[in-house]
Amino acid sequence: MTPLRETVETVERASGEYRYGFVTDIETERAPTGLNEEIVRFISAKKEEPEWLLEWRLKAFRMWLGLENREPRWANVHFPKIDFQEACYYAAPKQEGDGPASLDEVDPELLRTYEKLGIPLREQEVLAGVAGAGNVAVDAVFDSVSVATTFKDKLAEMGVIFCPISEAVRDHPELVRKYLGSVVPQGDNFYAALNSAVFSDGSFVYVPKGVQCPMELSTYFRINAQGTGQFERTLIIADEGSRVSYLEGCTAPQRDENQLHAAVVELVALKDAEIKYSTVQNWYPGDAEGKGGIYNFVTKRGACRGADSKISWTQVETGSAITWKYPSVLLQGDRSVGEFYSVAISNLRQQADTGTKMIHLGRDTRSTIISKGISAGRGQQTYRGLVRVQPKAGGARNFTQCDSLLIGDTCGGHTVPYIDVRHPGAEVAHEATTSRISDAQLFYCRQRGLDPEEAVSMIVNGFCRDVLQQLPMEFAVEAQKLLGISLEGAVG
Amino acid sequence: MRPSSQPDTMTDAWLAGQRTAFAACRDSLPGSGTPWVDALRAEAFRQFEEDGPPTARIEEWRSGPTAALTGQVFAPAAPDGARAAAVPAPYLEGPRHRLVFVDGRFSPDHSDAGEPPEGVRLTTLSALLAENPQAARDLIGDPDAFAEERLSRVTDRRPQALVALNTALASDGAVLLIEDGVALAHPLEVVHVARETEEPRAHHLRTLIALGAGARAHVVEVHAGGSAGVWTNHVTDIAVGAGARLEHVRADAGSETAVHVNVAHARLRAGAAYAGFVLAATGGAVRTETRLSLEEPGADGEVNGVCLARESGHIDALTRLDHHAREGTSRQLWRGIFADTARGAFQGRIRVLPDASGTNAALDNRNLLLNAGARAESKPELEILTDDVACSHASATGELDADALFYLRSRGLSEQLARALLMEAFTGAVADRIAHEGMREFVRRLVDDRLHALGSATS
Repeated sequence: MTPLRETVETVERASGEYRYGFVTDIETERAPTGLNEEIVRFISAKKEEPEWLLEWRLKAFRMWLGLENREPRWANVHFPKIDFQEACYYAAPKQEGDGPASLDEVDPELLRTYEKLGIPLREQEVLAGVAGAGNVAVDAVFDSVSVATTFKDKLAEMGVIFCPISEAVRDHPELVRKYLGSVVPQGDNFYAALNSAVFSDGSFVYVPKGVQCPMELSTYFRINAQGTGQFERTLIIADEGSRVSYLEGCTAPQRDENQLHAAVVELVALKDAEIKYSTVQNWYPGDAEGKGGIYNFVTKRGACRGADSKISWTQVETGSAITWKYPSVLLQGDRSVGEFYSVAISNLRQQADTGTKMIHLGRDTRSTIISKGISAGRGQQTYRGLVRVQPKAGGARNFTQCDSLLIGDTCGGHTVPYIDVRHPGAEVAHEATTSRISDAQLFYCRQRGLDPEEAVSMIVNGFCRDVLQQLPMEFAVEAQKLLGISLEGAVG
Repeated sequence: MRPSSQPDTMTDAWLAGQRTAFAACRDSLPGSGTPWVDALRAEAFRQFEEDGPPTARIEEWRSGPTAALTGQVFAPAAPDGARAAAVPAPYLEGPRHRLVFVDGRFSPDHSDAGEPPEGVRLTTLSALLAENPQAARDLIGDPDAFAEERLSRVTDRRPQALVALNTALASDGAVLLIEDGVALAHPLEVVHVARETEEPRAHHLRTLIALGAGARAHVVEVHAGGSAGVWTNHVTDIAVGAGARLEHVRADAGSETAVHVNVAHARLRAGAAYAGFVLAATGGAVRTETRLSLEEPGADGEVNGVCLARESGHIDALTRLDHHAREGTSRQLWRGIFADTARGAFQGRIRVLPDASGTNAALDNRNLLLNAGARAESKPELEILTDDVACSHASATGELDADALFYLRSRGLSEQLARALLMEAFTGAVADRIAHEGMREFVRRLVDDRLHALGSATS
């Protein structure tokens, strides 16, 4: 059974409530609450990191201290000030010895958790489930630690490195050292600095020259332990002429408190390389009164370093109480291409301020932004994007389309694009609309025998089609169902 | 001027300069001695100090000409009748009412108010404050309204420091009051002439326009004269009564080196219509704001503009259209052409508040960059808080269409003429929306003049 199929079925059984809200009761090893240099040293020591990485973390930590009280406040999201000394910055499932040598040694409780999530860690399940479809290699991150990575050996035959970043630090230090922080520097912003100081784990991908990665790579993130944040760090490098598609998914237990997720994702595409990064984000959104839920404050950025390279972001954002996320592309290589396809839903009391930045630096660079925002309930949704054409980026082209769909009169949909053009040979076009599901559309569907929720789900899926089409096939189905479920209770 | 690496010291000096200026001239400003006017000016100055000068850290000013504004300390111009002013001939052909202000003060010699019809009061701020402070109070000064207006802008985070400074220092301005059901048949032409100056000078002007229910008027405000070292801070406060209609043109016809800030704030009652046009043309610095509150159902707002900047000019155009009530409609059409090393910024926001269902609003901004070195920024915003709306915005930036140029050249037009023609068409679409023929002709002439300057600068 594919991960998606199972997820979809789990989801179908759901009655609109958050289905991933279970807590797995396993022993965890945690760092003391609070954040100081000792904690950073503790995390680094736990992970047996080399000296240079510890120094790198400490530098980031000092930068973070320098940014104290400089949390970004410009976003259209509202929440009480976070006390960063209240959280725990490291939680790992407790293991005996040095960690699992194979899946058989992984805590069965943990495996059952992933089963519930629909993540098939056991390769045979994957194999059994994906007849006809592409294979999926999964790296699962549980709280702060990567617990298992599948298909590693098969990938290694092709020269593709796919492993937890902590393992990459040990086995491929030259690659990590060269690229870590090269796209998102430690002091980039408040949350990136925090992540750089305390990041725990995440995925590392290196695709060598000329290799087309034979399967979808995937990471599944789950926050489990109470009072913890998750600070994962993902680094993907596509060497010259290579190609890779990567997908991440996220869930968290249902809790009354807010939990912080501050990840950093860095992508590097060298000459002629292509990276496709897809996200289905379904963190716990909080309840209808706005209690609980994840604060999703994420810095994602890709650099098209080489000529003719391409980076494509696709995101389906249905969860989180608050989303602050702007997957961006630096178009440095001539003729490089950046894409951003996004569907974001805010229902209940969710707040999402999300968008992208396309920075055109090289000649004849192109970017496309398609953003679909859906607001329902008391949700607030903001598209915030930047398109900048630098003085040397002659022939740059951008097309941006942002559409907002509002369901109900207590939600909000906002569009805040920044366009900054410094070359006369550039063509930049932006358009945006805001509308609601018209009575005529609904009437038509109902007259054909659809109930209101099915009708809304269908109309919303049509509204988002341009984006959903960009998802890898296996995940598109899940995403469609997710849209319907996220909007349950929004009409009628 | 201090180096820009010390912005705080610079703005401190600027603030200190404004303090000195306020202390020096507060007793000679119109209405001085009337308790409520003194109190209002003092309160406004206090608010200005509290807010501080505009900086790029304030979102609404992130692309604004803050350095040009706070880089030198402009002192309010003292009355100085000794020097003659070069006052341009009337801009509008045909019958008109004309008020002329020189260096921020009314100049009866150059004005020709004509004979406004019954029910129309055409005067100046200084005259109004001298003879009937109460009437003026209703327009600019009701402290409650002032507070309310500030509160209604909470989401802007920062109130408007320069408007507060204007309230504190306004030396004069045109006043047009029209009673219910009265139409001002001929347009009103208000000309502000700034004389050339050696030392940095500031002119704080306040225009007040109030139309009763069903009234009609056409108003043109033109800025002429000026030179580097002149800062004009002009606020136009407008109230359009139920079912009334105002057509309002603001245009730069003067120096291309001055620093110019103008703010128009209009409140629209039920079924009222406001049609505004802005021409910003400069090699200096211009900040133009248009803020419309569609406060009651069925109001209609239109805000269009043409921005032309050359040399090291900087234009920052801002619009804020707030739909507070249902069934409102609004349109915005903005075109910018930027040459040399000029920088043009446009930020336009459509905001639909929770009660404004049935709103229909659209915004369209297009910019042309004529050469390398020029820069265009655009920030069209939608802020929608209810679902029954149809709102859209579009923004595009590029160069002159190569195919269109080729077509015109294949018809035998010179490169320069072809470019001029395309630019004229690009801006003409906006100017053509001015309903009043005389005003439209005036704007087209002025735009053509400025385009010519722009074309000759680049070819």
